[in-house]
Amino acid sequence: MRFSDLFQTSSASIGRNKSRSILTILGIVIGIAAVILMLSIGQSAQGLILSQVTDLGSDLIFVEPSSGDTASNGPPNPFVEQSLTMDDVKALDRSELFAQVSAMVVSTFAVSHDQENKFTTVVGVTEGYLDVFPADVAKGRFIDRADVDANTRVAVLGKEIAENLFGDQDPVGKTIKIKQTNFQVVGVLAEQGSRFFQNLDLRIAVPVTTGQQSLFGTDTVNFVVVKAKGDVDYAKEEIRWILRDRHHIDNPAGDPTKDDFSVTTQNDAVETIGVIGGVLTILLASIAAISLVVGGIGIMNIMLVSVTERTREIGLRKAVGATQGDVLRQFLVEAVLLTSVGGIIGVLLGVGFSLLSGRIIASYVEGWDAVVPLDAIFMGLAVSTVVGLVFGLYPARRAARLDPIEALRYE
Amino acid sequence: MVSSKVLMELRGVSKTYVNDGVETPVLHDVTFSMQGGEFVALMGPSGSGKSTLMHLLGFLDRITGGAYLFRGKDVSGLSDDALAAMRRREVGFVFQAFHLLPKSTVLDNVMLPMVYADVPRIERRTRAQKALEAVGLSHRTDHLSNQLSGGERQRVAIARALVNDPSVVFADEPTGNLDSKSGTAVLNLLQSLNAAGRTIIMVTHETEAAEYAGRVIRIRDGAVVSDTVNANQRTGTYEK
Repeated sequence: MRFSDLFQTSSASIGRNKSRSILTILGIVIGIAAVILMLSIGQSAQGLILSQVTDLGSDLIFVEPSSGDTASNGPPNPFVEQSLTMDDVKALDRSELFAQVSAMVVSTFAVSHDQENKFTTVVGVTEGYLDVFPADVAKGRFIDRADVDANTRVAVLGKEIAENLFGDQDPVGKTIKIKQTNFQVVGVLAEQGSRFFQNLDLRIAVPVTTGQQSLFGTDTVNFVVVKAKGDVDYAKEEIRWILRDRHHIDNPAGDPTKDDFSVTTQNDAVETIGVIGGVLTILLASIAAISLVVGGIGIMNIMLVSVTERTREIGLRKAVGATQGDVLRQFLVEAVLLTSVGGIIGVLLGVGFSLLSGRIIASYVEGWDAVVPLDAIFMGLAVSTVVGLVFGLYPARRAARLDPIEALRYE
Repeated sequence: MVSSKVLMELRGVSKTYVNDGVETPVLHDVTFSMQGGEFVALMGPSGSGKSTLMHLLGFLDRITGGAYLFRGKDVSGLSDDALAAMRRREVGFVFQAFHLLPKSTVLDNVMLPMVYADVPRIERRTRAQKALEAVGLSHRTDHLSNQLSGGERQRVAIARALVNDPSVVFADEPTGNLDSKSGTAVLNLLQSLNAAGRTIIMVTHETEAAEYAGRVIRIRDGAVVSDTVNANQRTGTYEK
């Protein structure tokens, strides 16, 4: 039997049962479309996070307190000890290898001006903050070294919180209350947008020393951002040496799990995101596999019904000279045609929904760029074909093995 | 024409079905031979084994004892695929229940055997049209088969059986589902095909229908009870 005949015979019998064929492939259509949509959203999210991380600049090094290897220190401690102090920051600042050292404390407080009350993020910063997180000062000035050294009660507002508290008024020179303490507004930043799903325009910056003393009640900082002058890896090692020395950590082998801090760079973050992306892809692929198995069982079920319904037709085809192989191929091609048509429709729907959802998300999340992964499209088409082959085989074999005489007599 | 030469020969053929270890003998010690160009009626009551005999002769089933020679060659040991090849090259079937594909056109139904015989596409149409002309249905080519009357359907089935130019046409109770008028047309058609040299084997339980054949083999309880030449072949109207 020629392939063109095979194709024609199979497509004709699918066409004869249009509504049933459509319902049959629905499982495959939904499965493939869902996979493409999920992969698209996953990759778009990964792309967005990556672009924000790389936005930060590859010469930035983040230093955070870390519990290190808890196994050697008794039971695991859920609270990470705040190990970084302003003295550490000053020590780092003395090194020649760093262009900028900026320390930060972050928390959320009630902020008020006149009758306006807001809960918002307050960051205690050093004067180098704008070097590591670039932003323009729209009005007034930013916090300077003198503010940090003298613990002055000054604040710089993000654009949106300034509007929330002051409306059309110029906030510079006015006083706001943060946690019952008065701060004088000395500047307003220009619009910055969102980063890592946080709205930077709602933040208020105060000198880190003032923040520690009047708001946070601590002498530690949440993290330190160091801008390297030359080689980043060299700078990373330098930070480790300085902090181990200051924290009296005996760690000549340089085992990071023994430290009470962690040092990461943009490259580390990119790697981590890559790993998370890989896990996400495996997860989605598993969900996809399950949905396609379900779809495949649907195909098998309908093909079995079809074989039973067409028993007499199969008998006749055998009587006029069809071999077992001819009948097998006819039903197999039918199953594969069904699933691959389902795959094509699923891919089209998946791409459509991906672009649509990309638009919707982009209207809420700045910088969201909908990605439709090409490999997912090819994978969807390939998988749908394989599903047809795998789940079509059993019904097709049943058809092929029918005894022609019994098949012709079947009522 | 392939007349006056032995086409099929059965020597002590038996057929026993085995189902769950229970043996059911259907045919035993059947011996006869047929020449090309004959019109033979296999007659017998239902359950006599005549249909089984036709299935064996038509390569739809295998004998379990004896020997079946087709054109002098023993065909009892052929594989499934070889039997399928014999069916598409050597035989054509006409069934009591017509067995047309219901949602296909008359032309597609007649062309079906050529799909498996690997006949070039262009040739299929002309050969199918010729076969439909031979059964007087060339005006129905594009009708769906389920729009036809019973008699027309059986003639389409005959055209389908003829289209691969087989050595033998098997007709299994061809008039069983037809009224007298359509039955007459079908029997006359088979007769005229035979007159043109076609070998025909008709299975029937009706004496009237068997009278149209040139030779009648009667089967009872799985054995041949008589094998007679019907010198006075009936022509014209058939009545149920």
